[in-house]
Amino acid sequence: MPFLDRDHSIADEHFSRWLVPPAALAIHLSIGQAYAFSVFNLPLSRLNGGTESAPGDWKLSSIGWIFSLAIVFLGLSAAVFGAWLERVGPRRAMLTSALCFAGGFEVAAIGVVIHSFWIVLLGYGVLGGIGLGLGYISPVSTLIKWFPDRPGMATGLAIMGFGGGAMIASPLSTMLMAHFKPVAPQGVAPTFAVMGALYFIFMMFGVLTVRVPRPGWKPAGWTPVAGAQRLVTTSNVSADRAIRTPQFWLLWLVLCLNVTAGIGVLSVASPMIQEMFPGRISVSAAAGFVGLLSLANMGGRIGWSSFSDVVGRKAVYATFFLLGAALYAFVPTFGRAGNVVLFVAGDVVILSMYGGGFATIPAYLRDLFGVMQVGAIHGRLLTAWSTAGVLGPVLVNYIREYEIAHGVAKADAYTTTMHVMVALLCAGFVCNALVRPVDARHAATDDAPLAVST
Amino acid sequence: MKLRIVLSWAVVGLPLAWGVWQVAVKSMDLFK
Repeated sequence: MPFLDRDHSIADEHFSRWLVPPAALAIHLSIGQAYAFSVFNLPLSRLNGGTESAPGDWKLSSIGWIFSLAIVFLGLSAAVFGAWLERVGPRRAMLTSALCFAGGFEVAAIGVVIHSFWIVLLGYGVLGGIGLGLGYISPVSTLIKWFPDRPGMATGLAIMGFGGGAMIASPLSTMLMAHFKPVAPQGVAPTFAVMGALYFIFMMFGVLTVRVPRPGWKPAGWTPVAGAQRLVTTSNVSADRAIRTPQFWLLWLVLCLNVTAGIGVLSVASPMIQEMFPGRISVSAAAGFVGLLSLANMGGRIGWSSFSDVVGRKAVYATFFLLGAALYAFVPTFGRAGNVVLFVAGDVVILSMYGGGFATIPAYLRDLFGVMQVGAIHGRLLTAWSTAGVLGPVLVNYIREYEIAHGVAKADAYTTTMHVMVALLCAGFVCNALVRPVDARHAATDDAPLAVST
Repeated sequence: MKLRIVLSWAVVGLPLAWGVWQVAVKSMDLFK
């Protein structure tokens, strides 16, 4: 289908670049559903039993693998298909993402109907996960090309959608399951089927709207300012060369450490606040705390990434690590002092920086390696996310269990975890400080200087 | 073109606003 080719999606002169962020948001709001998959965990574990698990029902520990596998395939597909995406353009990549993500829901629905866990795993975890990876990187790389003057804001807008997607999916899934419960066990299978169809339609809006800029296009009245920021390149590095530079691996560590610290809090937010303030924070108040963290995560994505356009990417990450380390060091003290407001405020800022880390990294990559293959480079960097997704919760949970097993009170069991996070953030600060302009020998063209030094 | 931009933002903005509202209401439980 030539309509899907990159050449057929080049914008005409009347096209406004402000149509591209809604196209990107349509994709990210859809695939952001992944963060709300946990609403299906309990219903999936009671398909036979109804009100509680019965023999033959899937275990919660097994169901957890569906989300984990989806995130693993997100990282893998982003890394593997990034170069293909740059070649074929965003429209074909976004359509493939929509087919995989929506198709994953439909396959999972079949798996629920015939009660085959492996088919659900294959559908949502593998097929859906590939859709997540392709959908995550394709709009980001396109936005960077449309907004060379504000790459942080542009990528923040899209990646904010990934955070916001769960906010739509969670209540939507609950409503659909309640609606279909009389006709199917827990209402899960028809909910999967309907959500697959809805998300496909919504993602097609993005597919049909997205355009790539004409070669040589730049925003009216904008010219790159040489020497404005020391790390900003005027040339391009291929994805294959980028992964051979120390800068790529430093940023890999920067993302991994920042995400590990944030995910650590996010994964235990509800039990943590209840155990730190026993008798004062109810289950519903703890759910409210988790909701507040989700809002901070989403707001941080657009806020911090836009701020990075003003102060530079390196300064923003330095803030994440220094402020983050200080907050992680003091949050247990706020808890011990019984100060709920300071405790909540500290965690809100931490989670805003977690979101900000995700949203600012594509612009950081663009600064260092140029726009030519930024999608492919971003895809390869996302393996840091997959690593952190395992590392963060494991660190928090195992340290907490070890502390409790050795007689530490539940309210104090998070203190060591927080201090480990401080150490990780300090390591992240050092990695970020070591980032220098990429050597000119890695540039794709011989004649252009790679870094504009001051 | 301006109308198209407004409509495009509405297509994505309205569901997002609905989702944010749902979470914001839920998070109020923390302050009760």
